[in-house]
Amino acid sequence: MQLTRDGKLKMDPVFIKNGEELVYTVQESPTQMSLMRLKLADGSSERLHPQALTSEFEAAFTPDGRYCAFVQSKGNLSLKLVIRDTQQNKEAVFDPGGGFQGMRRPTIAPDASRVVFSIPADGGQQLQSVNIAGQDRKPLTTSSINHWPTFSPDGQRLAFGSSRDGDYEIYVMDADGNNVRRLTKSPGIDQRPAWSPDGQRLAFVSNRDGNYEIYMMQADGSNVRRLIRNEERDDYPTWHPDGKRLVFVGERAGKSDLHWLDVGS
Amino acid sequence: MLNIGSFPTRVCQGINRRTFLQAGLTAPFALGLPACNVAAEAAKAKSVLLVWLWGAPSHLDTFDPKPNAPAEFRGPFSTIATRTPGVRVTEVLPKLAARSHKYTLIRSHKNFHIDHLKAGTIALTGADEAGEGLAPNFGSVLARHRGPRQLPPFISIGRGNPRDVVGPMKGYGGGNWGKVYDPFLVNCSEQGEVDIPSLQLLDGLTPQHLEDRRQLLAELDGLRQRLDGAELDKWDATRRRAYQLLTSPDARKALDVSRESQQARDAYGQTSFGQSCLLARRLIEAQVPYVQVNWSQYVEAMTPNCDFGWDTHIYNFEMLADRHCPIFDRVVAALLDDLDQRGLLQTTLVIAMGEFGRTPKINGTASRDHWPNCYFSLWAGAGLQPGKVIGESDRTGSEPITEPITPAMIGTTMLELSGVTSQQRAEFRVLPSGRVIDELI
Repeated sequence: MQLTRDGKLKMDPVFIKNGEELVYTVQESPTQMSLMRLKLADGSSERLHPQALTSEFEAAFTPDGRYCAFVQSKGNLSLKLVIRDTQQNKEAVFDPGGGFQGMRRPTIAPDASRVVFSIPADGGQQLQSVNIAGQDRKPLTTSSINHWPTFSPDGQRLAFGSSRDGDYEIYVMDADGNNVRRLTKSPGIDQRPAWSPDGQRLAFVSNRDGNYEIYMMQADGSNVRRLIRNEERDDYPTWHPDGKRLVFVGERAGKSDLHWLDVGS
Repeated sequence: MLNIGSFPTRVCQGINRRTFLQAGLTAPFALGLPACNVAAEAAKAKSVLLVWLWGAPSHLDTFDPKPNAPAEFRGPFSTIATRTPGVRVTEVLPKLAARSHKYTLIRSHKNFHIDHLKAGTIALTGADEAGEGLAPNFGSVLARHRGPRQLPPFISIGRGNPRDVVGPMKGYGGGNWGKVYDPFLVNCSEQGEVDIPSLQLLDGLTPQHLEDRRQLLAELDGLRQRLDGAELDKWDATRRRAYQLLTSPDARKALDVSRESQQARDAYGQTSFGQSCLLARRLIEAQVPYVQVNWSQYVEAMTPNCDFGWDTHIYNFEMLADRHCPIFDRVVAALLDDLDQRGLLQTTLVIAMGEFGRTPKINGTASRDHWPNCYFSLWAGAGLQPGKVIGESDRTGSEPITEPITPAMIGTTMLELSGVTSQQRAEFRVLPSGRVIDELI
């Protein structure tokens, strides 16, 4: 089932409000990427930040919806992290500076203690974290390209992608960066892990069969199975809080839209 | 859909030619071009379609991978086999890998400047700005050679001419031949809506105005009075060109992407680059000699106003895997299929290239910077033998180990295939040092 029909480029959907709404990134115009909020009840969508003048993308939320972290463009290939407290209506910013600097793919710990993101550093691209005030920057990885961090529902682990063994594979580690374990081992790109709400499974994206498709595995890396077969791209999976369904960005007839996918319990 | 001024309208239904400005407009697309009038029939390439990958794509992460190089060079992408035995490209280009029998790949290009603006000028003119001034763009040369015609002979599709934060890239157009040889600019949205920037001068223009000649003339007179002489001269020229398009049914038809089947539009995908390439195919079909599609600074931008196309100084691998290569792969594959199925590939020279490559050694931010010493291009159509690889780079993609193929050689080959002979190039005083890439022909 299709959730959107405008066909515009979309990325990074995430459920909020106990699954009643979705926030996602859309290429609203050639010069503007925006965060959109889609109400599932009536299918209506609107900008999350109506007044945004620059591109904003890759939103992440705490389970209670109080905190929202997202990436904001400063122009000239420079990005900053905005952490918004929606209760207090305050913003904290982590700005790594100008000149081709910036972070991607923030994820917030369920207890709002840390925000983890991927950022160019130490001769590679590292996972680092700041506190909810955008301060106290700490490294979690130290080599190769590391990306797509995502906190487990209990906040104890981080799943992420890394090129440390050659190509992109999916790994899991403790939230403090210790105890790294490799979960996938296949030629090609394995990326964008997404925890199931019970923390038992991970959906992810792989091109191991020729194009980007959605896969699922147990949290220990076992029982990998492909969920979709489509000649076009399927990407950016996110779990509904009921743990039975995913939403993903599917390319169909050259149009990029949000789709449901039942995965069972 | 064709946008005129600041509103959208289906011009094929809404404009009555008799009610429009007609004086001097029914003539072929003269543009003041000296009429060399050498027919294109003898040329192998009746048209050239340049897919201009502004910003400079990484050659190692696309068409010249080095899977056996040290980790600090090779990057995280795996390679996949192409349809050409022994030739591999990276995994982010699966559709073009499956179509390698439709194009020839050059892996030994060399440019002569590390700066986008200067390298871009060299790449599109074959020369640096030097003693004789700024050389004309290859498209301007072909436009002059082919002479007047119904449609502009050199059309550039994109959101303006290529530029970076410093300013515009000078080699986009006529150079020392003057603005009359500049490309005619059109823009195409991801929905296939085409607009003509030169008509944006008329902010108040509406369909009703177009049908009321007296009111339109009055507004134009008013605008004339507000403009100084220089602006008026420029405005007159661009207006003439734009209005000629609107008064020519064939031109309007060529610019109307909505006439395409849904299947064709879907094949190119709902991106501005995709629909721009579909528009380019329509213009080729309408026998426009030279069409350039700009992967411009604003195409699917991550950081608006400053996204320099393929200039991936940070997040190189993510941007290539997530956005640039999936779009490029889909669109250029669709373009080659479409031209082939319509029988246009035999008479159309398709080239995809940027101004240079990117640093073989991954930089301190896990990305790649500018690298003029080695880069790639794709060539298809116009009777060229496809399914080949020409030239070779060293084990890290740092330098060609075969004879470097320069921008002057690209231009010379392009023009030669288009019927601009060495004698004519000499008469035009362009590309004096260029030679044809013999391995291609």
